[in-house]
Amino acid sequence: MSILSCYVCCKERFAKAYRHPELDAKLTKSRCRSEAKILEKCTTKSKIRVPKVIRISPPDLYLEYLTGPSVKEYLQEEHVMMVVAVATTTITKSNILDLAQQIGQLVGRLHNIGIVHGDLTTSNMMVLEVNDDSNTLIDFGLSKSTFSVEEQAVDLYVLERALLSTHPELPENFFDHILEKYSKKRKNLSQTTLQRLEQVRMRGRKRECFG
Amino acid sequence: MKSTAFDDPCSADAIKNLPIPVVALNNNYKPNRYGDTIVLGLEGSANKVGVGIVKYTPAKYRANYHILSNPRKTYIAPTGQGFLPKQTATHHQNHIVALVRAALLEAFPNEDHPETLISAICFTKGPGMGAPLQSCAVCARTLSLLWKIPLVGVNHCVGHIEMGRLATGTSNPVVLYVSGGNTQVIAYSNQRYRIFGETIDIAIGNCLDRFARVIDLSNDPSPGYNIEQEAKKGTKYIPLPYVVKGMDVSFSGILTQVEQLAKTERKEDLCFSLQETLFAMLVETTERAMAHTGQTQVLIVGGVGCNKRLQEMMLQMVEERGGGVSSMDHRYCIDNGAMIAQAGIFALQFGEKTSLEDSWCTQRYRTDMVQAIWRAP
Repeated sequence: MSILSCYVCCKERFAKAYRHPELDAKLTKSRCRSEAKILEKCTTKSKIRVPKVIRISPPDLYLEYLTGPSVKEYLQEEHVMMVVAVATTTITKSNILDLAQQIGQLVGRLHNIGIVHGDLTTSNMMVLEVNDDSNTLIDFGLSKSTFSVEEQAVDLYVLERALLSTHPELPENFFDHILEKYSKKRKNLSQTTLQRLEQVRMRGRKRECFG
Repeated sequence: MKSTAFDDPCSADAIKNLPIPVVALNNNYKPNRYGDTIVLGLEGSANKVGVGIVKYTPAKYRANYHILSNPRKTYIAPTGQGFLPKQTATHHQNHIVALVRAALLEAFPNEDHPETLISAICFTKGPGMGAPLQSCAVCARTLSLLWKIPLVGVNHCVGHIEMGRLATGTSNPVVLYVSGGNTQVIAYSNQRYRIFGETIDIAIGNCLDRFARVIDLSNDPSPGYNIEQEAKKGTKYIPLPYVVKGMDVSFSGILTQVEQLAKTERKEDLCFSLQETLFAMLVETTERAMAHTGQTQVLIVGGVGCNKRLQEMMLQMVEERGGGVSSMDHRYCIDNGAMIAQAGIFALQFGEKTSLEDSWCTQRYRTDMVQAIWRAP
């Protein structure tokens, strides 16, 4: 390996005491390897900015250290700003919708190269301080290499719900902006995924019987 | 007579609800002649029918909620069969009047007219099985008209959560709701109990119950309990699918797999492996909800919450994160009338009631549809 030109962090996967050791070992090993593989794929096959993989030694993974707030932290700060400066809300509001578009683009690119993230929450997205592509995804532990329409739809559904449950203060069209940019990125493929998303949403709704 | 309510009153301050509005201002209900507010709750959404009476005492520094009585009857289906709506409804209809009488007698042993002390009737509006829900709703409407007091429709899941918060004194936990019909990871934000993750097909209790039928376990006292006992004898871990899709989980594929394996493997080992796999999935999603919301307390509610192994796994996870877990308490784990009364009294005190025209039931009623007006936004 050449001389490192970045800070490095180690993603340690601790053994989960609550899990049966065999199950735990199996999950930990496969998630570590798959995360590394998918990060490599992101870098080689697309322009998505993800942390570089430095070294793989299951259960640990050494990754490039990126600085910046998570989108969750970022949005919560923005929210405070919006409350404080009511007069200038139009400006911050458009910033927030810009962010939505960037997220849509990012997820679209990811799905285009056949990756589903598996855990698209705002804690797993970062707004980078360096002004290159400005935001990034992390934590690919549950990701999969697949072009499956179902998995892509579930990916979007998780994101939609994560936004609803952690950021109820966001403008209502935030997710629509994500989908809009996502569709542009995915071109003609977006239609089937969005149709499936509709079905996935219905599934959750139907699934409410007795307790 | 056997007591059905043996818990001390719970402090109303510990759970940090909004201050209760002055009664005269909302004109919604009348406290009784002693200044207390007492409500009666009716639950019958699944195979249990229960009546609970809860009292609110507005002492200035020791305001509290107290369960005065909480009797219940369970319909146990024959081995190899689940509980069916028709039989379950008949069971509830046969028992509910006697249960109301028993509840009143236990709560007010020396009163000739206990109904004059009650301010409202709370009932389960949903979710649940249609016919059993309706049986209880008919009883609720009758009592409301007879005693001329308001009705309050309650979401069953919110009943579990509110009783859980109160009984454990935890103001804002992440809730894992696991029962025969529901599997949800819930986190509160802005006056709603938001569903973080849930099952996309069958509920965990349904999965366990159906496997119990495949291997001929009895429904008495409950199929889940009998699986837990079998699992204790299991030694071999048999790999099963581990299906976590985003925040959601899926159990139907695991059930199919384990049903196939039942032809060749020992049932003890299968029960053991099934529990290990299902519970690991639930604990993992709960952990992620905690990480995302930054909360440290977990509350397990619903019938499957009685499972010792699930409690043990959850505790291990939560302790590693430096938090605490509240699991298994008869007041909020197993369906009962007092939990409906508890969620109902909150709604009532903050100005809500249900008119007779709106006192219908619904099989589908999501947790996040209720606005928790008693909690700080």
